[in-house]
Amino acid sequence: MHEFTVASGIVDSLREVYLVKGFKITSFKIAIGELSMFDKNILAELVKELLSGTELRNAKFSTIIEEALVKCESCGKSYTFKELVKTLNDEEREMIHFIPELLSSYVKCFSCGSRDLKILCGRGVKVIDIELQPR
Amino acid sequence: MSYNQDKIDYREFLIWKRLRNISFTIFVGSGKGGVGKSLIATTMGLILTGNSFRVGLLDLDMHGPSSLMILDIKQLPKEEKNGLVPPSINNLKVMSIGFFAKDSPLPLSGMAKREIIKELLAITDFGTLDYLIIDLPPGTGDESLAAINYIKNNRGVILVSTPSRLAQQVVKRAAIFFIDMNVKIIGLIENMVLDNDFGGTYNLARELNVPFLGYIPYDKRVAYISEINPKELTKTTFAEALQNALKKANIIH
Ligand SMILES: [Zn+2]
Repeated sequence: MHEFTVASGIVDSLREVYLVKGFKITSFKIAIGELSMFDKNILAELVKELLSGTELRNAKFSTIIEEALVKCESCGKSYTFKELVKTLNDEEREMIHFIPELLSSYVKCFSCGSRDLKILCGRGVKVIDIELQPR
Repeated sequence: MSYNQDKIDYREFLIWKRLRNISFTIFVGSGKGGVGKSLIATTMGLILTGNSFRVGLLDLDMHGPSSLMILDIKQLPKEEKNGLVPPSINNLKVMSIGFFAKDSPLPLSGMAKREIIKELLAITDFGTLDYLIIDLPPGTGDESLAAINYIKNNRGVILVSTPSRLAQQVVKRAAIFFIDMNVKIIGLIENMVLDNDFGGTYNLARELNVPFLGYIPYDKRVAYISEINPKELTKTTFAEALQNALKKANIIH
């Protein structure tokens, strides 16, 4: 699990908005795609800790889980994360954690067997709903 | 300055930060497959580490990631605080989609490939490098577009052709693509030359006004790569010719 890499990437990129673009950040949300299988609490804890030593220490944030939806492009069926993940072993889960697109390497459509699976939502971690104020 | 973006992709920042520690990126591309491109990218990496450069190899050939097999790498990348640290062989740090896909198929759409490249560039911690070598898939598809898009500075491409006229025809198309995308053409190489039976890559280079880096003889030992170990790879006539090509490109002296 590479939570620290992601947390520092998030905080550093927000600091960039502050330092280079010249905006104060009042609040933001971290949306964690289910397929990335990040631990929401660990990620939130790390971001909080990393923010505390910076200009952005007063920024408020929340973490939400973005549900994953994967569509079979061959037959049109859609699948949720829960349906997909139960067929995967630990090693396969770890690979998808790092690179969600590899889902189609490890899962076939339960209905038609196709590997033409498209991730509609819930793949990785995003920072959204950033509220800014001029500095 | 106006700024109205309400979301951030932290990966773009990570990529930017990591690229600051990489002095130069060499893309290795070709027009068509089966021209020995991956072997050239891999051997080039070993030659450069042998010349005391700090070098990483990123295998983005998703249709046939082969660097792990060529180098016989069994070790997985290690998870460290700042990202995934690639395993090294002869000091060459190697990252490949092959680590993650194992032997499973890789049925990927263009968009999925772009996401994967972004993810790999963001999570891989190559550290400080003199050269990052990127093994691109044949042609000018999404992998090449994404790599060019994320690595905008200090970059150049070496294009691999063969004596076959078909290979040259498609490498010409690739060369024009890279020129249009403002990627410096380091030079063209003609690989797999049998019995000094040279093809027209030299003339193609002149026509395109780009450097020609030389001919590389077909080396039977290298062709049967599974029978040669990575350490011997740099001692072959294949590697010797490649070394001369790198000298011509002023990459080694
Ligand atoms: Zn289906």
